[in-house]
Amino acid sequence: MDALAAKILTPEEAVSFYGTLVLRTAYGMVKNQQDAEDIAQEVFLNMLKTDPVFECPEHQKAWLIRCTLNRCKSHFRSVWQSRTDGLDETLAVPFTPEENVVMDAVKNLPLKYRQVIYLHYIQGYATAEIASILNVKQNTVLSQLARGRKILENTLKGAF
Amino acid sequence: MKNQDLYKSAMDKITPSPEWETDTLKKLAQARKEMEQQSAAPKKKTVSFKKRTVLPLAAAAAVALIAIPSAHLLPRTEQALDAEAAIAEEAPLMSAAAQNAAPAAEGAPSPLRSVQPGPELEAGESISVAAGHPAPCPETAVEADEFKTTLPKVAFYQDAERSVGSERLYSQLWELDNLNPTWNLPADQLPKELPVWSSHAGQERISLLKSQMQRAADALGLTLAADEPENCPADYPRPDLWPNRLTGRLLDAEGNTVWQLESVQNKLIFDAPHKISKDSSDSSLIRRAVYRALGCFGTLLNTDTLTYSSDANGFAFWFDPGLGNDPLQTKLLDFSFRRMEVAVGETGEANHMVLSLDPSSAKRGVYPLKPLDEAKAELAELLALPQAEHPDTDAGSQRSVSLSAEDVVGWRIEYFENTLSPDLLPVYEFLVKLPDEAAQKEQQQRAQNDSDDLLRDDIHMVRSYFISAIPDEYSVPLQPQSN
Repeated sequence: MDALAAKILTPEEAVSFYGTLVLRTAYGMVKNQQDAEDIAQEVFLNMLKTDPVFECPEHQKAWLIRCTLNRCKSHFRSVWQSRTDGLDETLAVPFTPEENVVMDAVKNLPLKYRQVIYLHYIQGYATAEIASILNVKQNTVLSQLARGRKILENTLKGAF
Repeated sequence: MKNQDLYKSAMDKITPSPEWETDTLKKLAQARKEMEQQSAAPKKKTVSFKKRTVLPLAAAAAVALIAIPSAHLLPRTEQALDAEAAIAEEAPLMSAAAQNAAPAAEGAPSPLRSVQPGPELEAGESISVAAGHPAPCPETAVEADEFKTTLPKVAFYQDAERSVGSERLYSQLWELDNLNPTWNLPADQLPKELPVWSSHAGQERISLLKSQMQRAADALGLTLAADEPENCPADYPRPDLWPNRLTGRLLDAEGNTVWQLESVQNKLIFDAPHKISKDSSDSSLIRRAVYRALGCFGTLLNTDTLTYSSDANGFAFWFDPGLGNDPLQTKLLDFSFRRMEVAVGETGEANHMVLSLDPSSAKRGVYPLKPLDEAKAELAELLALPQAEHPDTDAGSQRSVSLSAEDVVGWRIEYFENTLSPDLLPVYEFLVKLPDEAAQKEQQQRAQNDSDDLLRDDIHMVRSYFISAIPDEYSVPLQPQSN
């Protein structure tokens, strides 16, 4: 795996190496495992068909995250998505009751806060890196992160 | 445990299943194989868009139609499940359908084109992580200049009756733009020229309309039962353009009507004869199936750049291969002729769809456009007509209100599609705000039909007025013709 991390991967290799990353990113946004799997699959198919040029592994990883987020945004633009609730996936993933509470709180955040919270806490990106991925100013990321955290703290009655 | 640790531990449990990985690798292999086959296949003759190749109109139409099977699968949940999984595998079928249909469109000048593979990024986006840059956006160019020759004259209804369109309510001005790329652009930014197409007529038209329907049937794997064209009514004002449409039905293997279909000039109109179940699991399936189809729609064309517009009643999507950076003329043609609109019901079901196709009829030419100021002056004249000359002067009618050019809240260039018109040509559509009393009255009427509708003070109403964008020197008055 370390060898894979150090090189630019083919789409097939990327499925194995970045599959979890892409799926989690999608799940963090769309809150539904089935939809997340669909989106993740399309991201890798798109990578194959568009054959983008990556300059380094980190660039490839950022591209995959960015594509996943864009796919998720397209997903939300669909009237079907906005007008129909997805199946309740919380039963499909074995979260503990405490995890369920936190996940529900994060899921209820507006998308713009949810994505920076996800990128910061789960992917471990610094705010400058998030700004690059999302193509927004770092100050915007900082304020969105602060607001998202504040909402979570109010919801969860505790620090986040 | 801290909340953020709980968040991390929960997200750690989100892992791809082995089935997902296997399925994804299988689809990658299939896609790779298709790409190799496509690259090995001889290229079709296309109209040059400088550095781009051209996608035949019929190909786009057939590909777009893959969004449709979702609804015909609705009443049969088991089939829907199977079909949903199979949608991504329909690409060869779509490609084959597109290829079968391609010869019909090859001879016609068409602004359609395929694009070079590009990154899945939204307009204006770039990634600069680790000094990396995504693959560049496909270069955009419009077709070669074919203007300046002697252009035939085109026709457009200029009288008041034909120039007044529908009315609609809105709350915010942005609700009206419809994402039309020419919305409220100043005169110096509007296109300077646009193509005009002629309409088919008689047997030629019947063949065209029927072939459009057949392509839809082929793309969907359904059987077409086309109705015979009706006889031209004695008082029809343009018998030379008859028939103006064909109707038919798309049937499944059991002979059930899946879609009622109507073919009109460059549009295919689908109506679902049966409303969809309100069962939530069905809705979820529909949503996922359509989403997959839409995703497939994008990747098949290697654009991945469909633009969406949605409101409470439905949504539209159209090609935006230049990621918003195409020349305005190209964007307008994509917006006008490479789009699909879907009307949805209360539970998100698709019950009406309109697929706009590229005009496959002969192009009249590329015409210079009338300056915006001239069009505004014509509008002012139209609005200043005495009430008696307006087509609808019933007492109390909203048509009878007095308006002026100062009431214009927006304008855009659109292609005017009228079965009575021998030409498909660009027009200025001006949206003119009606007095607030008109909006209140309309709301009251709607409230009578639906008790859930509340009267709101911030609702306004506009009426559309159409002014030809083709200069007078290239126009002839449109006269009714007798049988």
